[in-house]
Order: sequence, then structure tokens, then C-alpha cells
Amino acid sequence: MALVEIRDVYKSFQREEQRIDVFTGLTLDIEAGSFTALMGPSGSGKSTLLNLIAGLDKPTRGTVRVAGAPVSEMSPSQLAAWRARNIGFVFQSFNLLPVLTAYQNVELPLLLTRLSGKERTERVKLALDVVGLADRADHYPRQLSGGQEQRTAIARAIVADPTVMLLDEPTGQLDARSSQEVLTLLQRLNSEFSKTIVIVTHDAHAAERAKMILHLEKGDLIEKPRVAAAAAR
Amino acid sequence: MDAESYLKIYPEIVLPPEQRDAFLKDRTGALIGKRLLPQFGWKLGQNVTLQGTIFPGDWTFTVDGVYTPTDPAIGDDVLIFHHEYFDERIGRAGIAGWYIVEVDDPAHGPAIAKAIDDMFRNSSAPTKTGTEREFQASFATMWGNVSFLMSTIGLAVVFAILLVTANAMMMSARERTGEIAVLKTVGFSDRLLFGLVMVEAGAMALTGAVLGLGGAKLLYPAINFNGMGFLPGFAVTTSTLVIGALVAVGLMLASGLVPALRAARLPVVQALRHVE
Ligand SMILES: Nc1ncnc2c1ncn2[C@@H]1O[C@H](COP(=O)(O)OP(=O)(O)O)[C@@H](O)[C@H]1O
Ligand SMILES: [Mg+2]
Repeated sequence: MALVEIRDVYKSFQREEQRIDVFTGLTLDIEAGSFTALMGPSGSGKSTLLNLIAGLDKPTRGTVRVAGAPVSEMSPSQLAAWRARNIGFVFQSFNLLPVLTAYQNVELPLLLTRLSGKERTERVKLALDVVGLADRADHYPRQLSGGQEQRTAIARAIVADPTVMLLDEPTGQLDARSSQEVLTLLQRLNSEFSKTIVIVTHDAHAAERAKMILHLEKGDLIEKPRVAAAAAR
Repeated sequence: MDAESYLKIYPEIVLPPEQRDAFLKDRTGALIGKRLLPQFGWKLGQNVTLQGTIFPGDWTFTVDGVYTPTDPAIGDDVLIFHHEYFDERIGRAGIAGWYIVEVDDPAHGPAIAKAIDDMFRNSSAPTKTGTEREFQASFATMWGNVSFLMSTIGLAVVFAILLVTANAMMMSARERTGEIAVLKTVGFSDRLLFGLVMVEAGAMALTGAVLGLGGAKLLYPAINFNGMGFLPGFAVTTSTLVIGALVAVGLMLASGLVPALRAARLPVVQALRHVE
């Protein structure tokens, strides 16, 4: 059984008179411990797919299961609690609350758990250490570079030890060097800590870092193993 | 007032004869209503000094008598003293604020009033004669108008504050669409976010209430506020504090509810599309 099971999913949006069918019967498995890059033109449904996996949005039809949990069937309050434990999400930007320090931003998901203050401190320190920002704990987001902000967001995404990490164009606004740092970090999280990672990216070089590349084209999936993609270039 | 005629025209002012005689003989003497004894801790025969506001300076009187009114309309909280003493101190003898005229028959009242007003119509000080009831009513309406004005101003201020806070809360809610979306993505529930926004509005209202009410409670006694003599005994009472606190709670509910509901209902996917 795959970690993420997407079965015959339909998703459409109604915009005024127009109906946009993003997915018409999408089926996809994502295995535990995998590192998948999701590519495709703008508007092909990449963000929508991540949102469905995270339970931020519901399919019009079909089912989404993550580690056996029926994500597409759960109520909003069940989803909130479930997300706190199972999903680490990173957006392209605006991940951090500007009034909180890096430390406090990373601590947020733990505030929803029953962990003691001491345990929380240990976990936050460990997460900041893993992303190489232990010395930036007391900095506010505006005092961090773009790359450091994204690494802080990644620290927050791993701090609760989630089932899946979902990243929607996390390097989209970063310069080449910061992008490399973030991608190296993700590779390390996957290989060293066995994190299951799905990353959306426009950048073919970034996608190369993943073990598997999926192409979304008009709601359809074209699977290209990493090696094949590399050979094609 | 002119002591002898005043006491004659107001048989409702009752006091022992020896006190009455002492007062009539004492140029700087005063009669006080019985309520003033406990209110200010005054005693019969004591010298009391009042601070003038409209007529500045220290005014010292000897309490020669304590009266008990037989009619509540007279009031038991008045200090009466000799007009002569006032004239001497002020240095403009013979000017009176009002005259009290006793008529033989109430039926003659209107005719007599008209005759008096006609007599002084073209003088430097024209009169306006009316019954005692009308006279008191004119005072009451004056105070009625003032308190109505005060409550209207108060209401307008509360309403203005409501608009300002509600607007501030709305703006911060709009600015925070992204933050709320992030918190929801992290796993904060709709109910928790509703609570957080309400708590924030509550903290704002509470801070305002403590500063405002506490400030009034401390400030007015500190500057000895009495409305330039028009509001003697002015004080910030407990009931005023309670009303103020209730208004603050009302403001919190009114200004926090809409943004809190908005935060709770915000769909993350929609919010993210606006941010990105
Ligand atoms: N909340 C929404 N309301 C209306 N249309 C939407 C909404 N979210 C996505 N869409 C539409 O669905 C399609 C896929 O969007 P998205 O998943 O954001 O694409 P991608 O991330 O691949 O660029 C686009 O045509 C987009 O306009
Ligand atoms: Mg997208």
C-alpha cells in the first residue's frame, strides 16, 4: 500500500459561468520514503494536487488517502488536527509570521500538541540545527535572507515529524545559490531522515535532485524516471 | 438673601427660634440644611470657609442655625447667608438675582406677574416673572438639557470608537489573510483562530478600558474636578466604572466578531491564491 493514494480524482472549479476541470480521473501513488518532483506548465494543477493531499481542498469526486487516513472524507476540524501531525507544508513565499522569531515560527505546529515546554524546545532546536539555522533562532523573518526564510519554513515543516512534506515551488523566489542550499537540504532530509517529499518546481535542474519526476499536463500525469529525464536532455 | 423677609416668605424653613435670632444678628452668619451636617461634618456654631468659584476668594461663615424643611421642594442641602455680606465683599450693592413676591390669591398671579414685568420692561434690568413652579422647572430643564447633551456626546463617542476599532480590526484581518492561511495550513483549527482573534479584540478593549477608566478614576480627584463649580460632588462612581467596562466588552464583541468569523471561515486555498 502506497503512502499517498490518489484514486480516480476529479476536481473542477467554478469561475462565474465557466467550469475549469483540473483533474478528470487522476490516479497516483506516492511511496513512503520517496522524493518526487512535480513539474508542468502554469495552471496544470500542481498546487491543486498538493492542496488535495494536504486536505486544504476537497476533490469533486474520488478519494485521497494518506497513510490510510481518508483525507478527502474528513471534517474541517478533523483535518486541522490531522494536518498538524501529518503534513509539513512549505509555500513559495510568506511562510513565516513576521511578528514571530524564527524559533517561534518553527514552534507553531508543536503548540497544537501535548508536548511539554522542554520537549518543544528540544525539537525546535533540533529542527533549526538540521536546516543549519541554530544561530538564527532569535531573528525575525525580516532579518533573514530569502534562503534562510525558506529553510526556517522547512524546519517548521519537519519539527512535528510529519508523514509527508509538501513544498510548492519553495525555490521559486530564491537566487541560484540559496536554491542549491534548499535542495541539498531536502535531499539530505530524504536520504538521512527518510522523509517522504513532494516538491513542485518549474526548474528542471531542481527536479533533477528528486528520485522521480512527474509531469502534469492538462491534468494528466506523465511519469519520467529521473534517469530518463536526464538522458533526454 | 434678605434674611428677615426670606424666612417670613418661606415658613417651610423650620429652625429653633434662638438659632433664627442668632442668624439675624450675625452679619457673616449662615443657615444650613440638615443634610449638610453629616455631608461635610459641620457643627452648629462652627466657622466654615467656602471657596468661591464664580465669585473667587475664601468666604467664611458662622453656622448659626440648622433648618429642617417641611417641604422637599425647599431642599435640605442649601447654605443660606446674608445678601448684605455678599454685597460688601463684591462691592456692588443692591443688585439682586431674583425677587420672591407673595400674592394674596393665586388667581391674581398672572396679572401681578404682568404688572411687574411691565414696570421694568424698559429698565436696564428687565424682569421675567413667573410662578415658583415655573422657576424651578426652568432650572430642571436646564439640567435636563445638559445631561441629555452629555449622554448624546457620550453615545457619539462610543459609536465613533466602535467604527475606528472595527475598521482597525477589519484592516488587520485583511492584512493577515496570509498569516491566517499559514496558521490553518500548520493545523490551527477554525475555532482556535476565531478564539485568537476574539482574544486579541478583548485584549485591545481591556487595555483601553483599564487606561480610560483607571485614568478617569485617578485624574478627576487629582485635579479636584467639579466642572467649574457647576458639578459639585462630581466623582467617577463604581457604577460609572461598571458601565464603562460593559461598554468596553460590547465594543470588543462588536469589533472582534466580524474579523473573527472571517478568520474562521477563510478558505486556505482562496487565501493562498491572493497571496501568491
Ligand atoms: N480556488 C480556485 N478557484 C478557481 N479556479 C482555481 C482555483 N484554484 C485553482 N484554480 C484553477 O485551476 C487550475 C490549476 O491551478 P493550480 O493548481 O494553481 O495550477 P499550478 O499550480 O499548476 O500553476 C488553473 O486554471 C487555476 O486557474
Ligand atoms: Mg501553483
